[in-house]
Amino acid sequence: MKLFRLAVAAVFAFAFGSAYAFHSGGVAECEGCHSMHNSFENAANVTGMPQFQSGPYLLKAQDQSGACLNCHEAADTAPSGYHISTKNAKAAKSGGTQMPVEYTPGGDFAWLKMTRTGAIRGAPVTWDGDRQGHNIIAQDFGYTADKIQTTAPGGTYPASKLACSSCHDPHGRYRRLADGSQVTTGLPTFGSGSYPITGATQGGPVYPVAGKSAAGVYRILGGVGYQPKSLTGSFAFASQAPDAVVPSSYNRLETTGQTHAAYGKGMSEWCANCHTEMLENNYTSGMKGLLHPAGNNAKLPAAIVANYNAYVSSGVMTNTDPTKAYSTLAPFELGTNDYTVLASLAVNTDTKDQSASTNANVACVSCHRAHASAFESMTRYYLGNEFMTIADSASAAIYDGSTTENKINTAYTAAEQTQAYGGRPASVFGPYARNLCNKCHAKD
Amino acid sequence: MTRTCGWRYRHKSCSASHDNGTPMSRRIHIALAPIALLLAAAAPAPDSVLPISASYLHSLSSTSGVLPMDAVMLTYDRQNKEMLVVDGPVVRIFNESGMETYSFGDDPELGGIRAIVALEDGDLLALSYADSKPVLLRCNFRGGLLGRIEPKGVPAEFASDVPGSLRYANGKVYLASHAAMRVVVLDTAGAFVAGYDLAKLIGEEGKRADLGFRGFNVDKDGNLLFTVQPLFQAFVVSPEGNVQAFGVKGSAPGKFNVVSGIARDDDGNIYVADILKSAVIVFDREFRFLREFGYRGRGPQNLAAPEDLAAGNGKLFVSNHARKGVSVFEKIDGEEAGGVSRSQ
Repeated sequence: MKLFRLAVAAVFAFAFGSAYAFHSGGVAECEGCHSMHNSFENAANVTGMPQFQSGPYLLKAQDQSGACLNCHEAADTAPSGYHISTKNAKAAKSGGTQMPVEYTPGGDFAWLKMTRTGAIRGAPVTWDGDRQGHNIIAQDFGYTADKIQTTAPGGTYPASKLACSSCHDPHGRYRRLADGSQVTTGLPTFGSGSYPITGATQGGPVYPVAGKSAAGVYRILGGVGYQPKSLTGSFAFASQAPDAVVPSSYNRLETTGQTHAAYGKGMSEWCANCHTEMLENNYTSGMKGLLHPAGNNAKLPAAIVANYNAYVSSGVMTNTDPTKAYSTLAPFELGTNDYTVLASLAVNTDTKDQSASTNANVACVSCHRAHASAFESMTRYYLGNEFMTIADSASAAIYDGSTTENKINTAYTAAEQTQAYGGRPASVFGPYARNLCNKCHAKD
Repeated sequence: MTRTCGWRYRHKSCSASHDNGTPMSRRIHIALAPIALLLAAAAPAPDSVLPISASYLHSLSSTSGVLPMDAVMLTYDRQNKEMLVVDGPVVRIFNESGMETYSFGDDPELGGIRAIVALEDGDLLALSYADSKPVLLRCNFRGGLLGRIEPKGVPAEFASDVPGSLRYANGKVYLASHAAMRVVVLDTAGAFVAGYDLAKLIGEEGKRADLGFRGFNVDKDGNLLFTVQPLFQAFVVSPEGNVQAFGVKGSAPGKFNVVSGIARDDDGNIYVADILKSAVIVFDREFRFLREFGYRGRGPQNLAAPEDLAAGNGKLFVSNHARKGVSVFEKIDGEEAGGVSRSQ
């Protein structure tokens, strides 16, 4: 038996600490995605176009999202790194053998490909994967425009132009200064601001520092004034990128500790850049004509806070441990843009107090994932049925594996349901668990 | 003498010269002394190296035409000169002319086949998934299930890895976990033979979760070949654990953008697919850049984000995205470019 484990240090000629960051909170090397002339030593070199003719926006891809998915999609069998799309995903019910395996807070785009058919009370039903996320267009990777909607719900953003670059600025121009303000110029971006910045782990100084350095905004999202060049018309963002911090290892199943993305402020306002009509900061309970609260001012009332912190599972409201209150399946914004606080809570263990408070607010991400999820309207859990789990003959919680009645499982296998919930076994939810609206509203 | 390079196609030739910048070659010895890096001088292959070129032959097809397969996994059976392709739930087998001769799968008994290899006796080994758990199945040449192979004696550190690739060479079965960056080697009965922690071998144990490896292959001598995208590098690990790294970040010919599949032919030349450039980059056995070919385009010889590679018996197989299927190229040695030929 031979094991090849070498506990030796290697000296590298290149700065690998920065090499694989690529974006590093800002613009990466231009030649990574663009070809300037499609000419090298007087011959065409990369795009396959005739010499001196390059691809759209000089990209080395069929479309904007294709340039991203070259790196960000992978044929993984388990969550890994920066991947947000699983190659060749297809629902088991549709004859597929590969389910989406990436589990980032934003979700795996491959759920868009998980169309399956089943039956509810004998009537055939199709659950269209197309409805389960943002329909980015990436021809090489099998992603197509929304089949039904031509514009963003609650907005006017054209579906035919949806790409990774609709939300993320591939050049990462937006940066956060030490005072929390977001600008596009003024100080150099030292690195990503998406993760806790300790300096030591990055091999460099802590940033941002007033007058010296800036940090890339969360996930290099577009900020005020952002509009991809390929999009004509008036779609420039009105709201800045949200304040949030996520653990540096964010793509993982949550079987041992949840991936605590510490959402701070501004996520709903940012989503409203496109989904303008969905923002609701002035909710009054019982008043008609309003929407579900979502926004910086949609603070959790005391009763909701009490429900949230006590809720364990359906009918079980016995939690008293503040470190166990938070659920990444029903997150909220903390109501602060203090990055010291946010960074302290961005961990992969359930050991920090991230319980609800009346300073916290509901956000779009409380119910939705940003990329895609296993469920219609990219929600974090299935809202289309009262139950998420059922019980076996011993009354223990199990995922519904019925192949004939799909009201609960929407034609997903038990394995797919487990993956949809981040690897959580059904026992986490308990038997006949009602859906997680009840985490806040506790009507179960 | 004017040097030229490039894979020559039926309708196109490339006349660009090449420079792979500052390459890095590194050999890590098993001894625990501090490692010394060997930096090879940055230079293309000398004139004494026989140039090679390739011509596009065909794309893998059925009687209905070119099969629009999408980023499929490739396994080349050198002995029978057949290509085995895992296309979703189906395994397709193609003959030497690139025509599909048989297919099987979509069988609950076989589960979700992810990868397949051919053994010398004609049987097949399949890496399959049942209820999200990996299983190793032995099948006859028609895909009929013969039995399940249970790995035995696998150390605990490798036991929980989820393999994504299956390769076979010289009687050994290689199960590679791309995310965990570990490879388990078994014999055909499932007994543990060796384990490789590739992240540790290349000195990146702390960044394992961020890196992973993308392309993975095993050559006929049992060397492990793999690519690590965020490092813009490719690696060759010998059975004894010696590591050689090569590749330089960049978009010029010979440099790595987003590397994917990797393969080695019978002469030791190494092929690395660059998914961003839509090209295959060719190196000789000393890791010197020789050629680059493919590129994005609508021609049959063009590539579309090549994902996986396989090489053998003078052929190179390239698995494309965008449902462009699998392109097959024929390697030609001793091309007369620059006046150098095998006869000289």
